[in-house]
Amino acid sequence: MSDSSGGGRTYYLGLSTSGHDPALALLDDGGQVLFAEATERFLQDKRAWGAAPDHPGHLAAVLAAHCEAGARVVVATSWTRLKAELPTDTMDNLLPAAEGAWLRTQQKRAHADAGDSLARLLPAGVAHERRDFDHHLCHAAYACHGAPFDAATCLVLDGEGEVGAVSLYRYRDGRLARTWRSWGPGSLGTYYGWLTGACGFDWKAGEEWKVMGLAAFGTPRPELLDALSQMLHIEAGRPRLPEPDRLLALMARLAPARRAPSAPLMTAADLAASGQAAYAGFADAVLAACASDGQENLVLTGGCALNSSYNGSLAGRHGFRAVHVPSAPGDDGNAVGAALLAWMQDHPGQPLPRARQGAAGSAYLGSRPDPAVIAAVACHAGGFRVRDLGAGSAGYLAERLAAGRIVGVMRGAAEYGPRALGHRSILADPRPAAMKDRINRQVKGREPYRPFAPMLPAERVGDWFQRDQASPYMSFALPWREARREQVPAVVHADGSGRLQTVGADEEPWLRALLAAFEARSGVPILLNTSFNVMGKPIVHSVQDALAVLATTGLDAVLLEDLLVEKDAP
Amino acid sequence: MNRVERERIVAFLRERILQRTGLPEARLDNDTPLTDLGIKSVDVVLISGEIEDHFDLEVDPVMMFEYRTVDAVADRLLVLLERA
Repeated sequence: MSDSSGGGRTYYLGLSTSGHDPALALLDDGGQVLFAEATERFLQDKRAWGAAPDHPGHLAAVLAAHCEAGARVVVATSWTRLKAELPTDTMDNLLPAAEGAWLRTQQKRAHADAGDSLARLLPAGVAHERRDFDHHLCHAAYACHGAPFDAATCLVLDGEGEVGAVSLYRYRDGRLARTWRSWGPGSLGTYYGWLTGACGFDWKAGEEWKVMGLAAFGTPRPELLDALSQMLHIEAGRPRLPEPDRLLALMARLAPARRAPSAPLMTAADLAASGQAAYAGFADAVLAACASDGQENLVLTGGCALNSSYNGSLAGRHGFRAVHVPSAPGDDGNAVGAALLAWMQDHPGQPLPRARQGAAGSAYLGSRPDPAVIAAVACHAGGFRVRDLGAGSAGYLAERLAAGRIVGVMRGAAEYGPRALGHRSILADPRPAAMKDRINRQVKGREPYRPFAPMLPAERVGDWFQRDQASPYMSFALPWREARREQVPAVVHADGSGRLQTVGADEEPWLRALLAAFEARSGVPILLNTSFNVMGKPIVHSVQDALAVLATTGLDAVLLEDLLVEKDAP
Repeated sequence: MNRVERERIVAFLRERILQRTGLPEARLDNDTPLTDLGIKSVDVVLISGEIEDHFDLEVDPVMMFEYRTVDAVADRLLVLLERA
């Protein structure tokens, strides 16, 4: 902590206490987010199951960097109670009982002691106070705080909540009011988790992406879609499970289509496509109960808002004028939401604080690369070519990318949420068709079918995609224009879509300069952008993490701020 | 006014419980704990949601487990409605 007296100041420490995807966020007494980051980044352990959201090492660094000494800290958690306190048969029985029990234990561990690390870190005599907040209200507060609207309908579409998995809010005049919420088992998130297991993947490892990606290779089969569509029914927007006997009968019907984890991937493609189609049906039925008059904006959040394939289908349907999905719609985002709600309690009459200006700006809330370690790399990275590119880094990098090099970029504050948006990204030329295989095989160690995302200037979307829609956080997969697909095959998915990141004209000047320089060399204003990690690991956190990926994969170079660390061309 | 209101609440609770559980009406005593009548806790939770929607109240998820009979839940709801 800095030396100046902070005796009068109050900070708000938001903690995501679900037991999966723990995260912390720090707000100042003006309601501005100073920092937010998932614990998995600090620990380099994907999803950080069971880890404390106020992990002492992580929290110590954050307090030291952002808090004045002697300040008061209010702890805000993202649940009002321990799930273990409720009867177990009220829980979702799409999951095996043992997994449900384990989930409750994880939440108990993360929630029960949340904030206790402050006792170790704060000076003696500085008290902290803890407040607990409704889980879905945390989702809604975080999502609306970053939305580009003053008024909206906010739908939380989640795996679970305090009493059920769906909540609907009305956002007006800086206030959130709940319209309704679902009760009991019946959850689109749990359904997708079940589907992930049926396709031979592991929801606990967050492999829902693999189902979404695989769906593009399959075709919905009527007999599968018929059974899957009955696994939930939606009553006035509320998802309900069928009777247990009925559910077992449906699962028995679907059993022959299940893929064993060791079986060939493509044997689950039709199941994935059918399951994604059934999901779209459920989500459409929920949205049909959130009626809009055509003038209303939609804020969509909760873990299900990561289904970019479904999100991309929303424009122009259900009567909503525009759709906003935040960068961290999953439970990591709740750390900011909880902190915002605690701030609002202390500032009655004031509206929900708004995120920093600029759509993308609100996503870059995490750690910065340590300049001392970058300086050490410049001295000690023997065997690599190291050069400080200074102010010309965007132009030089564009030239290297156009020459076919695959480069990991670590610049500025890390993204909040699962998508790399150019600060912790692996970038490459989208023109060679072989680029996708090369990165999947030699860099990320992923399944060969997995797609990569395009990054492009926001004002160019209409030239390249069939719909002109902003997507600053890669929340929407949109169909490419037919004629454009062969120009950038490495970022066109099997169904002709791309989960794009748009960079607005007044946001991210370095990324804008990079895209412009790349277009000048290649003729396309688009780069392949994938998260800077290897399969099974979170996005890199430290400079050392970034260099480990360079040294242990086929990555060609790493750009640390403006310092390029490059291998010799093979 | 309170008596009329209470009768209305009791009638609503009985109707929802009977509809959700298929219990014969004669077996639903207003002063017997719902779990003693063999009502599953998942049904208790779903009825809590129906109470929340119908009376436009915020219902605590453990309310029905704390006030375990139709009579006790009705009395609790009267208190909540007066406060609301």
